[in-house]
Amino acid sequence: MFVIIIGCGRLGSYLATAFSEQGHEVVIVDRHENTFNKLPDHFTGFGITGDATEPAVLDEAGIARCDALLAVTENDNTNIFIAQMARELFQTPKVMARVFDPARASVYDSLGIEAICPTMLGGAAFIERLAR
Amino acid sequence: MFIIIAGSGALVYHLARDLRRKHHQLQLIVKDAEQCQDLARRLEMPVICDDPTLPRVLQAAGASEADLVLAVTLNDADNLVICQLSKRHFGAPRTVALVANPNHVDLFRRLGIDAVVSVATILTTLVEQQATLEDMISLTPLVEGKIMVTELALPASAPAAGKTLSELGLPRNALIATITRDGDPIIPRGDIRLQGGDRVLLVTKVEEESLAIRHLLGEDAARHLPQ
Repeated sequence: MFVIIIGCGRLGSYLATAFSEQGHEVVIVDRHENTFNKLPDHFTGFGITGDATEPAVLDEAGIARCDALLAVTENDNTNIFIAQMARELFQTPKVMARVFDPARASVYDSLGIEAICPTMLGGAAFIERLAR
Repeated sequence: MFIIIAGSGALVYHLARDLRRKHHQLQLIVKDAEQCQDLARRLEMPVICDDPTLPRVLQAAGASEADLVLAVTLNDADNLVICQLSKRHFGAPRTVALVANPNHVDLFRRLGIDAVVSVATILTTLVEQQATLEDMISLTPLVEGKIMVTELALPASAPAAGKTLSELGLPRNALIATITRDGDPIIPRGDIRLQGGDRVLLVTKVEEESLAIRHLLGEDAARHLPQ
């Protein structure tokens, strides 16, 4: 599988490393080159420095032939925007966005953007473990 | 109309002032606390100080009753989310988004935003028009864009210079409303003769604008008109 990851923060670098270790092809995009320091030496993918809200940058990342795009920058709205751009302009088969705000995540989920909400996931984990 | 304006700074201030003067009912949302207080004080109206890209904030602003939502923050993604939440979640009939990146105009339209405004595109178009058509100084649409008011300077080389208005044979749906000659405005009759250096205020139906300008300035000038 070829996966494009937008945002090389803690989650982005974690996902990029994990997919790379599983033998998948990975391109990770971030506005700041120094964020790629978080990637381990055995990371086999590519880092691209650029603003992924610019269609040309997604093009350069190889979006036309990717199987999945994961938008995981620190900003909910940027992720929502990039996810929709991938779907609408590039017909990317699988698109997901990290959305911290639970209300915003559920609205976009109902609008067909697959939104992963760390707040809800984390909250559920705490509640579940406490109940054990 | 009830209009929600979400954005920042001077743009929100001037939009609010102009729209209020036209008797629209407004609700402003501004994220920055300092700007928010400043706007509330200068406009003497309540301003919601919160993130307009959150569903609860739009709800509190009355998005489900709004006739129009204007998203004019400096961030394209924020403007998209404000408009999409307003339209698709709260059912606002019309949304307008400002974009900084001209490459986003078409995409925003495809994603359901009713009108997308790119300042860069407007300025680029103006610069191009100026470069090719320096004599045309303003284009104002009236009557929902069906009527155009165009002010242009007539060079001595223009085909219309030296002709009377009746000789000119303007298209049926075009009218020269005023001629300004040496700083004095003239309300023209058919027998007035146009001269090089005249400034002409042309009123046309939008579909005959380009034809009328061609009559006045010649084929070359009209070729550069925006289609």
